[in-house]
Amino acid sequence: MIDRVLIALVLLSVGVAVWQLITRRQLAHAHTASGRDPLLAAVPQGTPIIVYFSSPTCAPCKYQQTPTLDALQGELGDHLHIVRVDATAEPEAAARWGVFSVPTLFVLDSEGKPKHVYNGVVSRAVLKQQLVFA
Amino acid sequence: MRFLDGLDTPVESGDALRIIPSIAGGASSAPRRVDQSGLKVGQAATIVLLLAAFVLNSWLLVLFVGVAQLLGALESQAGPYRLFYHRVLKPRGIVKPNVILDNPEPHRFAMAVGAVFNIGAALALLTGASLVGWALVWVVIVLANLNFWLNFCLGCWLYYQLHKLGIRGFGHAPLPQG
Repeated sequence: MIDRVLIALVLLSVGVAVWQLITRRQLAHAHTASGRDPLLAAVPQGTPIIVYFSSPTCAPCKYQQTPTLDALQGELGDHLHIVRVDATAEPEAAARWGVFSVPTLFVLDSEGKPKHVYNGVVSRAVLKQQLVFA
Repeated sequence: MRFLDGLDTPVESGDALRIIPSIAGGASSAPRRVDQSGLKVGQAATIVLLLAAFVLNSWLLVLFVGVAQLLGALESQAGPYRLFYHRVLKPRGIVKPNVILDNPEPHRFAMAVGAVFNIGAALALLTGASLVGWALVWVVIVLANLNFWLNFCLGCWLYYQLHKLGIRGFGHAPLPQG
């Protein structure tokens, strides 16, 4: 049984490692996109940014992620700028940022550099913690 | 309440209940709702039970998960996941309902696909094809994890692709969430 536990742990670790590789590539992609991306053209300098990709048919986006971001914006006001992108209406933008599912969020620091990417719903507490160091 | 959890629908002090003898409209007017918490419980149970099945080398546990998923896909009241959620977790407040506007059919289809994989895996394990059997189980473990942690439902995605192709039986388009 111990050998099977070890195999399971190895397989789960490989899965986690593959996932981390995917998100690192996504961040690298976002790094390239963020430099002169039209999505960020109107964003004031010196403010952390969240780039939020969703779609009109995404239920977790509407019921979980969007209310979380609205609450965070309400709490942080001008100390946070959220760029909301409909990935189905702007597929080129989604491709530039390496988005393959929604919701996907990129947290950029106050210099506009992508620091974190989240595929799937992310909680307010986690986002707030990331923004403290952004 | 008919379109939520029926007689199990939780109510709180101060809620107003209205009993209506009959409601006009056919099945097409039924609200499209899904309890996300129920789905998450099923996904978590699938992951835990399949990992246990692998460690214990138990084809029976794999078969149990497959049958549980099949009953879930058929929306059977006797489904183990449904019973666990409604009779154990929800009444104790361990998990709170999270009902949202969504089509149930793609999620049921995803459960049916999982059931096929797991029942197929159990048969493979029973007949000595261990590699095939456990490979199928691990595919389900990976997909259940994607769904649980990232809300990415491959079965749902497949359903909507089949809908786009006009395949009969996949008649529901994604609901606009506006």
